[in-house]
Amino acid sequence: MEQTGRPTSRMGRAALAGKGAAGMTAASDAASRAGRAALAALLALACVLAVSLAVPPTSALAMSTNKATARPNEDGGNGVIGGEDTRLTWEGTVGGSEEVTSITLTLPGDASFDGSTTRITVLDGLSRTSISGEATAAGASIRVSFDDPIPADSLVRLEITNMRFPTAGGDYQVTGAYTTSAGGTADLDAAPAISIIANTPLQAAVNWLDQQEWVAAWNSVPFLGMFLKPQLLLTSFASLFPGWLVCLGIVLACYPFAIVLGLSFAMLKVSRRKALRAVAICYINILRGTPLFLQIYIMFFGLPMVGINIDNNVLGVIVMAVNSSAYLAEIFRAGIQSIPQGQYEAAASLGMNGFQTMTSIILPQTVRRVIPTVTSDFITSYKDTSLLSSVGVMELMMFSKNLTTTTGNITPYMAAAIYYLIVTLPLIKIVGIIESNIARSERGGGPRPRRRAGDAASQGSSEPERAPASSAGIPRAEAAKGAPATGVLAALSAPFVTHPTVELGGVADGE
Amino acid sequence: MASDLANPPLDYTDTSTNQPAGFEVELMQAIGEQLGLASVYLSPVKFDTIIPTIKQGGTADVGVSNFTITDERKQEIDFTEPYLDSNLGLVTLAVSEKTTQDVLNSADAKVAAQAGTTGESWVQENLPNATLVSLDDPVMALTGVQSGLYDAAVADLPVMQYLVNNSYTDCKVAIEIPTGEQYGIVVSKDNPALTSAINGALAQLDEDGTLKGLKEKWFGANL
Repeated sequence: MEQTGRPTSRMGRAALAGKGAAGMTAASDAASRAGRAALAALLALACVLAVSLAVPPTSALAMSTNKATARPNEDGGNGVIGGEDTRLTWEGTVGGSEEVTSITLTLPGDASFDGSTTRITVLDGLSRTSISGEATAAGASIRVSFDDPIPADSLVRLEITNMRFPTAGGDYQVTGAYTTSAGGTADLDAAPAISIIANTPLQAAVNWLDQQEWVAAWNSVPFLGMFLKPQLLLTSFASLFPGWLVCLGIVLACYPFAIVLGLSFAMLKVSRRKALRAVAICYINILRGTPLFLQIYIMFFGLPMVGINIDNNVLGVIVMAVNSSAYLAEIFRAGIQSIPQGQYEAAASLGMNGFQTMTSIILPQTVRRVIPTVTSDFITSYKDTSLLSSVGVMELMMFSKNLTTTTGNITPYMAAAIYYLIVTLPLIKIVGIIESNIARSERGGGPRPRRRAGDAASQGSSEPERAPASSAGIPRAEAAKGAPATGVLAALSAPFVTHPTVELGGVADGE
Repeated sequence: MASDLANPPLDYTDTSTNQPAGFEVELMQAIGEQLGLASVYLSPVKFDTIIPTIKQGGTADVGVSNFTITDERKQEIDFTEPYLDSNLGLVTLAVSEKTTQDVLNSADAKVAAQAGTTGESWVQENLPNATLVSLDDPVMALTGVQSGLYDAAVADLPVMQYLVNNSYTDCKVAIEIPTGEQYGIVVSKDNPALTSAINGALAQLDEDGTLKGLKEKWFGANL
């Protein structure tokens, strides 16, 4: 109870994120984490002490202080920064035989209550007593006088918004005094200390932005101010970073499993045995036929019900892997079946058995062909990790959602979009490059000895030269590739399409 | 009118009629009648998007989804006068032993709250060691508590009490957190005329006993 802001709750999340990010956790974090762990231990100890102290004695004669907390105001962090606007929440219980007419709270150093607003809440048990009052700020102290005296045993909460702690970091205690209706004045118990940190470079940058005229002009346009507020964009990048790591961690951890699972089910699906095919078809169709969102719900709310409790991030990896494996199974299956029948016959004629044919002839060619589609699926999976935010996995969307709710601004989502694009755009480019490379090599344009140095330039555009050599195979080869966009080019004989006369039968069955 | 319609008995979608229902819905109808306006609910939206939506204007004029009046929110939008006093409630499984604030304030405790609510800030400030899980609505938080995914959920007390009594009967309100917060209706700062009109209507409803009647109907008592 009632220590400082929320550093440790975030720490918990960071630790959790670290666990799920499986090895992704930056080593450089280790040092700061050790420091934080020590801090957390201290805080925990302090909390226990605070709790034992804060339980108000029922027959107290004097007003007791229950707690004083500060709202974290570090943009993109969880500390309370001195010299920046934040909110102080002070809570106390009026003694058993007195009525309080005013409370004065004081902070040391250059803390300031100037320009703050104060919200007064008086509670008798759970019911609210309507008492208003007036707050007068004077530098580092604030005096709140109540229009009606606060009755004995009531709980008083003062929420002072837009006040500032001392600029230098350190632990500060809220002290103060109160006056009773009988005219007496007494000192308040000091509240548990609040840890304040000095300004961070990030915050300094934000402050600098705050003062720029162009920023003010930019933000005055409602759309720009709402979607692309520079200050918030900057802090969003900092605070979304752990979420981005979790996203990447989940998708990178899930993908190897997805590939192995997908390949296994692809093999089952092309199996000669009906039972095996049935298993694969059920698995693939059920997973491809239901939304990922629903699968996430079933796994996250269903598994704990049957007594299986897995870490959220690990469960996220499992759900993503299972879902992705169904799509990959179909991709691999199509890849395997796109290899011409002649390849099997050629392998058989060399005396290879089924296993040898698959591993040394068919799969190597399949892998080449499916790389672009698998990469696209990877991109999809990466984006789909966003759905995990709905069940409380601390990934990108979750962080942006939290930030949007505290700021009431859409900018954090824009920062998240940029974090997604950082990964997806290069991958999309890579898919394009691989696709064109494959298309070129399938039409025979791959690396090969060159006749003359001068010919090298005509490498990419040399179809006409080669066309006559393979014109006989065009229609059938085209059907075999199943890639309409590159149909004509692909029809130009690829080196390994060597049996055009028999390949038709083996490839026609897409589904 | 924008609401997340996931806070029974304040606002929710009646499953038999598929229409919004609840205390706030009837309150808004009464206010609408006072002002000669029709109160039209949009389809449910996410709680955290309501204030930006109202601020932007266009789609909805008012947001009613048990918004606690806070000074931070006041910087973005205007609030009407409060229409309900409330507190927070912390819900755990009925059989759970982790029911005190000390026990829950540990690194292996997971506490769910609705994103952007006072419940979430309460967890951040008062259970700093626990892992906070921010969810879209309190119903989802309770589903997680019921299934054992989270140790506790913090949200508005009337909502929690209703849910625990009606749908999540194997959970209980373990801690009633005295916050004394007040709910207000969210109106854009560009629309002060509407704010004062609603305030007038609220005062009128309070005077003629409609507000009291509604509270008794939905909460069994005049809170």
